[in-house]
Amino acid sequence: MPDPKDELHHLFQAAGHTGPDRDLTDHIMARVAVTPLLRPTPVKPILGRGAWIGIIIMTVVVLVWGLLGSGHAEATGGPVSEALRTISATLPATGNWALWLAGLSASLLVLAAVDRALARRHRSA
Amino acid sequence: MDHSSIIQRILAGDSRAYAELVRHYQRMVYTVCYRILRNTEEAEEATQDSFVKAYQHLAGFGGNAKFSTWLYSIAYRTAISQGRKRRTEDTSLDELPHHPASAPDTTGHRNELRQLLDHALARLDPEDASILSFYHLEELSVEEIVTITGLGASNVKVRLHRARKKLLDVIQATHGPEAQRLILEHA
Repeated sequence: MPDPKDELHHLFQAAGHTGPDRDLTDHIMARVAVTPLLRPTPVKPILGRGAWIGIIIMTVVVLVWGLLGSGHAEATGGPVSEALRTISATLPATGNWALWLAGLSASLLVLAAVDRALARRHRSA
Repeated sequence: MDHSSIIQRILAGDSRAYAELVRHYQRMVYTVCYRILRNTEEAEEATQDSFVKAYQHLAGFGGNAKFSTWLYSIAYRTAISQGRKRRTEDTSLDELPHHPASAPDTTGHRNELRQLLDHALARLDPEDASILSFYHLEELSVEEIVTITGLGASNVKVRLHRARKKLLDVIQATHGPEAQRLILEHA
């Protein structure tokens, strides 16, 4: 806060406000009378918490099924099995797939958090 | 003045209650606009636009900041944007209009001081002049000025320091001991 003993501060206080030449209330109120009040619309996240949890569970299930059930998939030989075989082959055979899953789940959680943060920011703007 | 009850009335549909806020704040808002635009007609227009914008978005005023800070921030941005629009016109400082004394409580002495200050502030960057006004006239804190202007705290402090020095230099150069006498007479 400024020092009240300050010379410049005193000058500003002594000079006061620079008022308009006329009272603007009537002009402003005439414009306000034809201006609608804007009500902020509530914004929901694109995907709700349930949808995100569902996606994560589904992804984990598909990946686990693909890795553990790759032997059965070879037997059926359909396009889904082919895709699962490809995923299984891409992952390292040394058992690091658990790290991949953890990373994937973490990424999805981060995305969900970002989505919610953006929605909250939009609401408060 | 109980702003929250007035705002509640307006949001409930009583738009006439807004006149109370307009009457209370129009001189403050006008001063912000005038410091930036330095033209009475443009400042009046920006004042009206600011109040209409504030009315439109009143439902979005969360009450986290003071109503005056929120209103000043709308006025500041409206005046800055209006000033940018007309920047094509090159107005020299000598052509700057002197603001006529008009307020009912304006005494001759106060008017003299105001003219001295207006003239000196006209030599400063408009944004610096308004920051000085926020600090010394409205007695806002640096944090509140940061909220209004959107500038960083260190930037506001540097601008305040620089603008104060320049304003004092200008007053000394143009009015010399006369300025000192005017200020002391009013004290």
